[in-house]
Amino acid sequence: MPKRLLALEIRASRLGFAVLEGPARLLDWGVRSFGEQNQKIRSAVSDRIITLLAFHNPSAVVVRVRKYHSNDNNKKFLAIVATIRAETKQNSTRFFALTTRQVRDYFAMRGKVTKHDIAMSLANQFEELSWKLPHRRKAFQSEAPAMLVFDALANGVAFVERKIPLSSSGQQRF
Amino acid sequence: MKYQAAANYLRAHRKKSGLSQRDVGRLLGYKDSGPISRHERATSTPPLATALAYELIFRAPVAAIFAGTRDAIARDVEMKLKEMGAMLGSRNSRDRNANLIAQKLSWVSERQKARSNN
Repeated sequence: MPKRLLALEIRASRLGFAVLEGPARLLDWGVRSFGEQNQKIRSAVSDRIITLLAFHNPSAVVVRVRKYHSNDNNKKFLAIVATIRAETKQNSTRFFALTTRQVRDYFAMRGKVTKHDIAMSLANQFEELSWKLPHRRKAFQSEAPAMLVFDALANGVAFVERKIPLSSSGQQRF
Repeated sequence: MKYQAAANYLRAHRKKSGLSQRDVGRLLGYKDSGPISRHERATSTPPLATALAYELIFRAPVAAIFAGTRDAIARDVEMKLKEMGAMLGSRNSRDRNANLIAQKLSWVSERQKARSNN
């Protein structure tokens, strides 16, 4: 049975996901919102993750970790990551964390520097996603929700095709 | 026979097409998206006509769409064939249906040979 990977991209109130089977087969993708209320965030994230894990039964979950400038945002982000990690552990699924630098470097080596370039190359690689590719945004426009899916997929592809050292669940604390 | 919830690729095929569960439900003659959701989650197995309709809609073989279910059935059938072979082998050669038993045995062993060659 080929190994399945659940790649996640986390934002303040939602997360994008992409499910890969091997390097070339994209099984599922989407965005799940969990609201912005700090008290309920853990249970809301937990519900979304449990559903995804139960449906796809992945052998590994990969998340991109980042640092926010604001301390509050950082706390919230780490709480979300910790919840995801706890649920993956409960499900006996391996958990991996990528840094922004690792993902960016992977695509930069292939000449894809901006987010839109990366999304475009992913849309070419996975034709089923090409219709979801948002227009290149102007500086005054907010990011299209579909971009979350491409970001999650970028994490997944960078992980699957990895030539970069990774931090596994045992090596990194959240 | 009851099989464990097995992986299928219905959701992957549906999302690739851009169709919603309701759209697929309509194509299959269902009133709502409930049955499609259950098929995707493998909480229920679609009837043969529906499985064939999936094949026609997504233009992929049933065995490929329901790969997990197919594998589970294949394992089960192989196990039962082995049991049948062992049971036939233990029958007395002076049995009234000795010729029929011999024919069944040779079919089982030929099938196993062909399978191991593949």
